[in-house]
Amino acid sequence: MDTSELIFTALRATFVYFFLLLIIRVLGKREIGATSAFDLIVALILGEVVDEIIYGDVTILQGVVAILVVAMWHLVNSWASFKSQFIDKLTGASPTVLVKNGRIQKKALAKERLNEEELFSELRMAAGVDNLEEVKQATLEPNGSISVLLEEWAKPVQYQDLTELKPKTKSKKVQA
Amino acid sequence: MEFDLPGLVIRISVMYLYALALIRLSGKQSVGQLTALDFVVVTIIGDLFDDIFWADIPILQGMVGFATIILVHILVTLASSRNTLIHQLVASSPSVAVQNGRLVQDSLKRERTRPETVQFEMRLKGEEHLKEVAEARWEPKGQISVSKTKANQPVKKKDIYRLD
Repeated sequence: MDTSELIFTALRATFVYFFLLLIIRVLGKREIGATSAFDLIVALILGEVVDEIIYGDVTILQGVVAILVVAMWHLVNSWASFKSQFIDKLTGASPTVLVKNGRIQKKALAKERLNEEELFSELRMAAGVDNLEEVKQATLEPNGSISVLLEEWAKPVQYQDLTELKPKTKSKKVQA
Repeated sequence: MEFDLPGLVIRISVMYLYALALIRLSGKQSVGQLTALDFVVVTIIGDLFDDIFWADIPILQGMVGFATIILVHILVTLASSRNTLIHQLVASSPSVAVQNGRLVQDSLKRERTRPETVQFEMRLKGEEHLKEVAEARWEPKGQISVSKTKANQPVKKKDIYRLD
């Protein structure tokens, strides 16, 4: 195999790297951060078109156009869902409440095809909660993670709860 | 073309070990520490392989393409860790999404983020009330970070125990 072809491969790979770097910077951190399933797909598409460019199966121009078109649609999509709630709901998932005031919402669980065992596992991982009563609201969020809001009495103590104790102004290290 | 089974096994094995060696060299251990750019680099790399497996391209050309991407990536991340200007060019900076319990509208616009998105990101942090948040930022990896007001911070041991 020709040495010049190897050099061209290295040059094309370098170009592709910096071109994708530019695209990512333009798209912004919310678009490529693998925040939703579709963002992940777009990132995979961008990564998937490049082997033909690097190995010289297609021209640089073809590759650049392909990447630009994907990036442009992603930008249009994110701009449109920012401007319009309707488009946002159409193209992205909306949150589903799974637990409300300590009660499991069975219909919501069925709709999201979630098992109760999975729900408890998520509650333990997200908030370290084992007792359903402590959960004011658990929500399956648009990015696929489950958020947990605790009942007021189940939250850790905050400074505002200590007001009667008059916190000291000076502090020293705790003796072992 | 005749189906070359031993060749396929050899090519995959060689490239697997080659990839393992270069990834170890690049210093990345787990997917959890990937930035957006790392992530795209990983997908590029994954994409470079199938052409070698199916012998569409010579194995040497694949090795050069793969090594170039890793090498350029090491150089860029190295330069960005040493130089603030380069860092700002290649990585996005954190931006403030909530300040003193209020959404920062400019930042929502810049990140093309709806208020609902900030709300769900806050819930994921266990935050129910915006007013308890002193400052929340969009971090470069796309998630939000939260600092709470003094009154709503968890009590530390030093505030409870007599410390004399």
